[in-house]
Amino acid sequence: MTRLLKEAFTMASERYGRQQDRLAYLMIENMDRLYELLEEEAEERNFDACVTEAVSSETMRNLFGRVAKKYTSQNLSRD
Amino acid sequence: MKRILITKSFRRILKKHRKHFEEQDVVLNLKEFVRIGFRKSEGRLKTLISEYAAIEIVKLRIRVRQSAGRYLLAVIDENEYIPFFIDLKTGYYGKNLSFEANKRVVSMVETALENAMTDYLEHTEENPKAEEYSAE
Repeated sequence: MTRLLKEAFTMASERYGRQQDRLAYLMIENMDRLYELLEEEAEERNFDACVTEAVSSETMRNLFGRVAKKYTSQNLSRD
Repeated sequence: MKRILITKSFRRILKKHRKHFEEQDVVLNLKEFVRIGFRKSEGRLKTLISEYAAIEIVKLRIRVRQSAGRYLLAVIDENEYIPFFIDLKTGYYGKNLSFEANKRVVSMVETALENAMTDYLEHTEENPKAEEYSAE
């Protein structure tokens, strides 16, 4: 068991005090849902990493430069 | 005045999800974001600061009736909100975590952003490439 997982169990046992057995029972009963949560979280992180990669290229930086310039010039002309 | 810009290219993407989300759903969701800020699982993914303005790439959640999704937008100087990509929570990008799938997602996001930003650059009163809404 990793250090972080031990910490998580300690936290859960402190928070739920006398309900620890029920908590353990719920976790065992819902192992599939826990796994789904894990998968969902991994997919979300993966998607975020893809977006960060997509917007970080040199081409995108140049495009953002032009967008920012247009935004500033149109705001100046409105003032 | 803060404004929301729905570009022609984003409309094309929205059209693919028309069974689930409409333009007005996104506009309402964005107005709520401007009013209350980020909610659970939402956030800023990247900030680019140039000498002219700051552009943030933001991920938001949307839920309309039974459909849940996420969408991406570019926020210029906390003033202009330009959505450019929308995806169902159960979208086909989600489940496959392989390297090839990642490359496809990167390329799709890149293309969507490039198209939306090009619409923004070409947008004029005479030749509109986006619909403008007040964000307030």
